[in-house]
Amino acid sequence: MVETVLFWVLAVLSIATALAVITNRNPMYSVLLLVVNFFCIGGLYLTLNAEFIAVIQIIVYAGAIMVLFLFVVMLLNLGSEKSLEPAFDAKKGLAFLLGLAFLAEMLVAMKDFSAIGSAKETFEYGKVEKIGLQLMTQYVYPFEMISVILLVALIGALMIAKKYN
Amino acid sequence: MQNQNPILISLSELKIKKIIMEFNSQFILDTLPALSLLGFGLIVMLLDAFKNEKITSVVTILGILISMLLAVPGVVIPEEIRLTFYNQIYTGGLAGLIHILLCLSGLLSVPFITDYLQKNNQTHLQGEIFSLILFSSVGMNLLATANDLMMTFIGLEIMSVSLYILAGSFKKDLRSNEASLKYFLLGAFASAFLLLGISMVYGMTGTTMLDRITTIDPNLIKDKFPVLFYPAIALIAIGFLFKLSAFPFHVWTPDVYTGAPTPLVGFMATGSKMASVIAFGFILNSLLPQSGDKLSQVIAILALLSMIYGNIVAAQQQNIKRLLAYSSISHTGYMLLGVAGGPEGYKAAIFYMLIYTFMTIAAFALISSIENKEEDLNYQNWSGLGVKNIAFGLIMSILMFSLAGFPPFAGFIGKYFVFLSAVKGGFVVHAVIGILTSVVGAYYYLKVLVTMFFEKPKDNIQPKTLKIRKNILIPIMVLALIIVIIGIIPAPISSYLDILYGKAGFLAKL
Amino acid sequence: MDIQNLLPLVVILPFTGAAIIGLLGFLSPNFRKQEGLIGGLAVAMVAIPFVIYLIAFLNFDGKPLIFDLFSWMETPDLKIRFSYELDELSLIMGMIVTGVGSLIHLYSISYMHGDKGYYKYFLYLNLFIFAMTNLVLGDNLVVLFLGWEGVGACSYFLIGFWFKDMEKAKAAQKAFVANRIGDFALLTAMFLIYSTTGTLTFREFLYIGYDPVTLKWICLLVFIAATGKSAQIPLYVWLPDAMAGPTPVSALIHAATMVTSGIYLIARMSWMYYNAHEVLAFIAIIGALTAVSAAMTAIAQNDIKKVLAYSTVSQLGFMFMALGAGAFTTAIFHVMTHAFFKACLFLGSGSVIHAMEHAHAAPDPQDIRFMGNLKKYMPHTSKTFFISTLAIAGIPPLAGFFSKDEILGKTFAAGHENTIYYLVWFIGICTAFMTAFYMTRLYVLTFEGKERFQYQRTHDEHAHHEHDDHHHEPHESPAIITIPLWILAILAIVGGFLGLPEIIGHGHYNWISHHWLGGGGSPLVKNITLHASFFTEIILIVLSIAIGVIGVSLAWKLYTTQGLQGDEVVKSKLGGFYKVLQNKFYVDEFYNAVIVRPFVFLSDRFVMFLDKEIVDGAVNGAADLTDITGGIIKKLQTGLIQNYVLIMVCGVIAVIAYLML
Repeated sequence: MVETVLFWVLAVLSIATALAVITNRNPMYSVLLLVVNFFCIGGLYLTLNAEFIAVIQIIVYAGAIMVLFLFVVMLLNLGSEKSLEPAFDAKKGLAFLLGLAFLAEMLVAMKDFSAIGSAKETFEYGKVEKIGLQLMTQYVYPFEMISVILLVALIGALMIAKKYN
Repeated sequence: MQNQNPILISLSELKIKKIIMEFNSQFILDTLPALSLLGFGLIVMLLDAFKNEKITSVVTILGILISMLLAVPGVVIPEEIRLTFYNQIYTGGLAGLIHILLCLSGLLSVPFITDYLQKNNQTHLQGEIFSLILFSSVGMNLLATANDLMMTFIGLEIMSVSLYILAGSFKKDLRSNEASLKYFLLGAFASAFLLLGISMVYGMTGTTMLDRITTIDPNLIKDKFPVLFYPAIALIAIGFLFKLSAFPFHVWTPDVYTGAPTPLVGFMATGSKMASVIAFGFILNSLLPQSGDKLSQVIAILALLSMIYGNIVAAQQQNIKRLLAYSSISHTGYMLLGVAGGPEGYKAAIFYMLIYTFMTIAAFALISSIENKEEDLNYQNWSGLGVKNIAFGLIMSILMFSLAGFPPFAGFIGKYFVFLSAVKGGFVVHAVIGILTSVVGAYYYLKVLVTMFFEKPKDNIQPKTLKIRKNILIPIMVLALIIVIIGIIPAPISSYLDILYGKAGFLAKL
Repeated sequence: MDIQNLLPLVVILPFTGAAIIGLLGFLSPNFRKQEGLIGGLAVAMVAIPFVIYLIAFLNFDGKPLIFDLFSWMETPDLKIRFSYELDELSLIMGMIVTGVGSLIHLYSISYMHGDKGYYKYFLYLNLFIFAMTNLVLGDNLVVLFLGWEGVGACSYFLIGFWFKDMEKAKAAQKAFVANRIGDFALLTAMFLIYSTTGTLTFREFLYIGYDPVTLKWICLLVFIAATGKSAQIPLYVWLPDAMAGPTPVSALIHAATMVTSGIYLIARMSWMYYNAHEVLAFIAIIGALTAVSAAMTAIAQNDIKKVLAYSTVSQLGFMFMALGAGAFTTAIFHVMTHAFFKACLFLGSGSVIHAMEHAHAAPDPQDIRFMGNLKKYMPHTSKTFFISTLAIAGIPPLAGFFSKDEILGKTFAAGHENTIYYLVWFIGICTAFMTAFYMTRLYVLTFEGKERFQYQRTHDEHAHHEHDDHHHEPHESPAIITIPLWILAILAIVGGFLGLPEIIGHGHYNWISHHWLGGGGSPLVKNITLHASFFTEIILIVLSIAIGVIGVSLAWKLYTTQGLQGDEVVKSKLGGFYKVLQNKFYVDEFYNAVIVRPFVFLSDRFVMFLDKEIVDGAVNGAADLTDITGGIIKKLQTGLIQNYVLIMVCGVIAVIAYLML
């Protein structure tokens, strides 16, 4: 019962904030609304017993990526709203059509959708300790190797930032 | 367990299956070749941090050699290839050989990179570049020997991210920056395709493990997921075709090869392709065990387009690096024709890659030896160079003849095996057209030589440095010698590949 | 140590020597000056294989030793391995090659002293030995062909060793072209064998049945190949010109070893020739014609090396006569004895030429008209030269007598089957006489009689050359040159006893023909032993001795008494024909007029048109087409990343669409 109520509240809220993000004129507000949207989706994950993904959603998206967005918005200094005046052209029309096509595709896919199992059955799998166990046993090698990607990215960042004499 | 269809395994069954294996110290021993590369990468970084840049190149070579040596026991006593580390990765036998092959391109490039950095007063970059080369080699190893598609993807990313950075390592050079950015953006795009394909495969089969996917009858999957099946395979294939720079996923190649520092191009163009083609063959084989499928037709068509496009456009180029970039697209085409030709063809393709590795690294190294400014790369300015500098002319001739596929050089043998397997795989028309395009190839390779040997020298525009420095002359000569030797006596290497491939399980089914 | 393990060294060592000398010589100018080091290394790389052959020879038990180095090329239908087989035939050839080869290497250390291309010379020489080893040891035709081409290439490099001289470069080219014709025939024969039997390994294709026509063609083609390499009519023209190379090269390549490879090849394939009688008769006739025409030409030549060159051609003709008569073992016997005395003669001539060059005494250091009485200055050279002259002239008991007598005997015996062999025999006898004559003439004009050269006895003109005054007198060569000469001379004396004639103990003492090459398991067909009666045999031997003795004494008398005037006597006897001989039967002119000029003419007019208008047109058209299409489609590469992504997406869609539809 609680689950259903929670779902509907979060679902409505997330759609509303998503709409607000793209309709708001002030990019600052858009970004902040997006944070709220991410929180809502994180909540939805929680209702599906996907604890781990919920936490990741908050940490990575609401935390790290949104901060990045904020930085970009500040750096771009989008003060005047005039520059954001929408101007319709062929490209955007094409994008709109593609968006519609994507929506149609989703709907078609949803039509045949049937849940593999109920949330109860998947209860175990979303748990942090389950995922942790998997990551540290079965997937320990790839998991550790991901650190190499990070290391490499760090070196790259260093090379860009470092001043050589 | 094997005759059960994993698609149908319900989640509760999966629960029982996930018995946690004990961690075994053997795992570490099995992955030691890759781990040692990683370790040496860290050592090089530390050396750099403590201002010992000068010895980084030596340490890098040492590291690669040690790592190769660690893989040798599995190769010399040809044991069966087997899974290790919770079935994540292959080791022993063929996997060892693959590791050695992949290390080659790093090993061979290091001397030339060292020299190039010295020449351009960029020695301070040594630490970063060499550690990236080592990390990138780790990525290649993971990519080529992975059993889990996740591992494949991680390997691909480690390799690619390193290469993106390497392409842009000359910060002050705008072209280098451009190369890096383009490579990165397009590479990210291609990686997304690959990842999407992998997730679709997971969705269809319920696993990412290749050894388990192999046990499923592909027709069963096709029937159950008619819409997903081919797009999934296509997307995975495209991820690799991008790395191999096959037409029309080649778009990044000319700009990146032209912009990136010259000897680094040699490294980028060889190791990553070798790893990609091995992984490509491996994954395709697991997904679609019966050859002669539509997919091999697609590959053959793309191979053909790559040959035609690469050769024809290469003939238009004046910049030697750009010329070689386009020619590398055509070489990808030759190699893919082998891949399309079935299991014999994989061997031929890997053999081709090996030969291509020697030729390409040597070619870019040779170019870097006379490169001082942008104009030096225009081969029209090389008139009379072959006569003035005999060593340069001689080695360039060997390389160009070999790239063009003239006997008795290695390039000919590589092409011969590829075309042979293509004909056996039923792609006769493709092979014939391929041979015709290689005639076009001969036209522009020889044009370089004609300029070098038969045109009167124009002193004012010639490259200033004509003398090849001794510390790179000898490695280049060794490479040229290898090319000649393989061209004259190919059997020892090609038959050895045969033996190991015969022992590898995943081709036995075919 | 098991000999089997040492055997690969006979192939590897000469190659290693060439590789080391070549690489170090190319890289380090200092190494090039280390003449002793280079020469010593090169000699060792030939002498060690000789010792290995010797051990193998002493331990040989009749079973061929097969050693396989590695696989060369493998395709599903054809597997070619670097695989070698040491049997009676290849063992004896190998010993000749490395034995005579190491002596000549040794000789060259001194002979080439101070030459600019010293290291290159030894590089080629070692490479030659490597190629020759492949030729005589290879157990399949491909390895043999590798050697065949290899010796051809080395010969080309060495003939043109002083390539700055246009004449010499041209001589090299001539040799190359003539050999190419032969090579083409050999390749065709190989294709024919492969398409008939599916293999190119000797032991697999030699002993099986062929249909007569194929067999005839294979045999004929292989013989044509042999006429190229072994200088027979019509391809012999390159050999006299090949004397442009350094003299030791002439001794090694153009007398003792390479030129005998055609004989080796036919002997190796004797089981096939055995069944092709017409081809054998043809070979005998060609051999006889070559022998006699070359011998006639030699009478009228004045260049010391040219005389020897023609005598080589003539002796090779003898060997082909033996092959043609089915006496394969006898041919190999003559190959061996000829290697001894002809190498000795060539090396002796080299010694003479050196001496004449030092003396600055004659306009041409090789012209015997400006020599004479050299035995006063060069005792060792003259003695060894004399011994070898007698050997080649067929004076018993020197080596040449036994082998040549055996050839003539076998040819005569073959006349029982086919009367044409009587003619061959008769030509052979005439040639033997001429050989004795012109070789004695050569010896006498060079070493006996009056001095016809003038060396500077005073040194005022050359005062600025320090110590130069010693050099004006011809002088004997150093020991490093005379020792090989003596070894070869001794071999030329005793070599013949390996093949004593049939009348002695019914051939049981003919070690070569009866025991070694004629034994069971030998790769050669046993001589077609037609038993000429004891009486005939005796007559033949007496005749052969008489011919030799008469020839020698006639020439000796004529030229010791008359000197150069002796030629006038010959000229008056022969009349206009002498001029023909002097001009070598006008063969070069004939080839020029009939083949070369029409060919040049054709290529000038017709082919040029074809080439320029049609072939070039097509090629250029293709190139232009490439350029045009390339110019258009290279515009795909705009440099804009958005376009790149678009192209890729189109590609993705196309691939998926193809797969789905």
